[in-house]
Amino acid sequence: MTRFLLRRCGFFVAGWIFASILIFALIRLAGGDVAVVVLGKDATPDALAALRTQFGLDRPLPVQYFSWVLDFLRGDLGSTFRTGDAVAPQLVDRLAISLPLAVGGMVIAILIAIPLGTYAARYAGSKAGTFLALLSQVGVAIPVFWAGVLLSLLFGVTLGWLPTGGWVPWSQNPVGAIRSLILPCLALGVIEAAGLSRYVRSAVMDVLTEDYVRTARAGGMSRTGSLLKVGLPNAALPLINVLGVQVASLIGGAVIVEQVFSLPGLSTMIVSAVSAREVIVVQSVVMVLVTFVMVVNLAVDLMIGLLDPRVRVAR
Amino acid sequence: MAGRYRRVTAALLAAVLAASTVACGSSTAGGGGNSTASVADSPRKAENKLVLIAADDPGTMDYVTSNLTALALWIPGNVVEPLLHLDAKGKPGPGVAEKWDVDKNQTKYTFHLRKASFSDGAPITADDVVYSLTTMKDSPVGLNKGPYAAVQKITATDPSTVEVTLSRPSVAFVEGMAGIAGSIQPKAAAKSIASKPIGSGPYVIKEYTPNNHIVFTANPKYWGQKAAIGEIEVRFVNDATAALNALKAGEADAYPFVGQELWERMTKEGLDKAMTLQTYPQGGSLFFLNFNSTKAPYNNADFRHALVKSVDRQQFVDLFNAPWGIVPTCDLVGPDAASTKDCVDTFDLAGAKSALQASGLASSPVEFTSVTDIGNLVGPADLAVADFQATGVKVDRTQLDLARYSQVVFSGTPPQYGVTVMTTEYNLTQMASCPDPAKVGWKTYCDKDITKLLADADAAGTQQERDQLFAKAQRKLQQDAVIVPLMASKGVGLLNKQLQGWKNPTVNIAIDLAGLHW
Repeated sequence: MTRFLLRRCGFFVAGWIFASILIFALIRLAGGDVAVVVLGKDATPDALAALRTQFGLDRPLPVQYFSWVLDFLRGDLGSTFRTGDAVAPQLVDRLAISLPLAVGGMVIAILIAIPLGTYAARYAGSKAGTFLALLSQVGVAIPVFWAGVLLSLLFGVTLGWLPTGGWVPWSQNPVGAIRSLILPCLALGVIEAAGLSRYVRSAVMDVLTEDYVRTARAGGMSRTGSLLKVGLPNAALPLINVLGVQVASLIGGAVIVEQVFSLPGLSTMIVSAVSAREVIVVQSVVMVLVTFVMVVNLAVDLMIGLLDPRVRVAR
Repeated sequence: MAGRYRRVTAALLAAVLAASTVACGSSTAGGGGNSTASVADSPRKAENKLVLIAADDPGTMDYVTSNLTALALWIPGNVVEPLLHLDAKGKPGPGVAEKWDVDKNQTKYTFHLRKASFSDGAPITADDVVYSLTTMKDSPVGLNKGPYAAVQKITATDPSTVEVTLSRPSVAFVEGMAGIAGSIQPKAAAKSIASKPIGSGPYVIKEYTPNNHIVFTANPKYWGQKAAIGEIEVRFVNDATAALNALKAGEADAYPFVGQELWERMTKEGLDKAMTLQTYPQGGSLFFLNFNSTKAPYNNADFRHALVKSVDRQQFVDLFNAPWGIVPTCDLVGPDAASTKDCVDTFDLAGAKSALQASGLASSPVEFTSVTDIGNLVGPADLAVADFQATGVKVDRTQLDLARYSQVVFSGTPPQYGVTVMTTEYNLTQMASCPDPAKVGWKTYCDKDITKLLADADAAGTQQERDQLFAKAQRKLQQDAVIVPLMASKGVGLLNKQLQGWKNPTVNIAIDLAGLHW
């Protein structure tokens, strides 16, 4: 177990370093210059050069990289070029939107996908099972932005039940904040559920043919009972793995959902920082997200290793 | 089995399409509870509040070192006030300066400040004015710095008087004092300018959350008529569909600066009828082609003229399907003065082809650089490329996001682009005057004659003389065909029908919030 643990942690550290280099390089490969974005088209070359010096963008790239990584590890995420405000408090503010959005989306996805996928597996081949399988196929094909626009039109414009977009801070009105998040969570959750339910269906169908399920049925359990009591717990292992991957997909979906619903979350922060070439903001926020996804995946790996000894000994 | 799958899939697709049709259809036809036809009563009216929509978040409130339109729309005139204000006819009147004197040579201006205070309670002093004007004079932003070209000295002669000495008479200076360049801020609060600028205007920034909103509250210390609406929230909605949906659902009361790319859609969705469509010339912009005249083959005037002849300006205007908001022009002027009567180059495709052959450069490819994330520039760039291609010339198009585009077009020395299309304010001097050829920058246009004409116009004694010199400069601009105006647009806004008191801006570009009332 110790070797397994060390190996996984080693992968984590190597992956983290690789990701930090990649993020640092990619935002620079995109080109663009925050000085020109800030000063506009009539700025003189002298003014542009002075601003780049002020932002520290004229230092050699390795110096910029190490300075950023060391600051990041110390918990200093830097400050924005345009306002000079620290990134960390902004990130915390944005998390108050993005975290509930991601968690809400995931909860909705799980609540829909597990019963739907299990039902589709249990009744595979029947009309209902076929219908559900196709429904998830259509769901996978629907882009999340389209789902968002449709939900906004239906529940916001036509019915007027929920806001079409925008954000009411928690501190101002918690009910308003929840109302602002319902449609975005639904858009994210429903589309994620479509993909997830296919994994659930496949995992459950696999365990249904296993000997232990057959044994349970031979012991007198009903088909549904054997599925719920014996099948599902065994199908959970591959699903935990999938859920780890889904976290990254959820963050991708959140980028679009936050734009469609004008939510000032982390994704909106990244998008606007990329547009303005606020390299420190992009690097730091993306690195926080990457670290989060890597930690989730490490936790999933460790959990699977803990539950399944075969994984621990596998090279 | 396969047939059953097909039937079920077809049924599912039909259901999804039906759902989307119901949702989209109701939004356009106005059948639902909060649909387009019923954009009328605002729940904010009773609270004396207002919610506005803006497409872009400026990211900074620092109007001294940034010239983003998204910033200029809200801060000048509303939060910070200039030394002078423009009246309805565009003439400067009192602002932070209650009155001013000019000596007979028109080179010494004495501004007498009104007894008023900034929104933080500090009195407006001559030191604050000297600090503000000096900061603007040293601003890295050309539009801010431009009006100070003739300024030699800015001094406080007593706590409420400021004297500005010019090297020559300058109309641009006076106009600048009634614009962003003349904005007055307290020296003591200058550090907070990027997130919370302080001024003496009718509104105060209560809260600015990047990517979300700015909340303004009425300034209780305002020296003039107090703002009628107590609280105004400007909500940033980057997605066009979401912006229009918010208006239809009644979540916002106005969209005061609707980008040209949305005009046709807003008309199709009936918002121009359901709401008050407001046009205002000050908030518009001029679309133009720009050739990099430092680079072959664009340094050949015959080649440039041949390409300009291939451009059908009317087609560009038709692109937005809104003749009430945009007009073709070959001069660098606003929509009220725009005309194509005496253009040097008019649309003539056959003439363009033969001129291209005559230039000997017909086989030279055109490098066209365009920006992808500014909605109103995408269509014009597509059209310009198609027009050029119609002459038989090969066009290599590079499409870049704004940051990359800015780097390629604005910061190269010399600039690396070939031809591009962009927008600008109606400021001929800013665009075409070039006192120092070494500092010509991205425009690449540096003509001695036009620079002299514009300098003479700035120092002109009468308006008539000034207009004549400007007309000559416009003609020269057309003859040189480096900066090629295409069309001039108005600012366009959508307002809730109950919202009254819209006034044309007293500061260029800015939206005047103080006059609005329910």
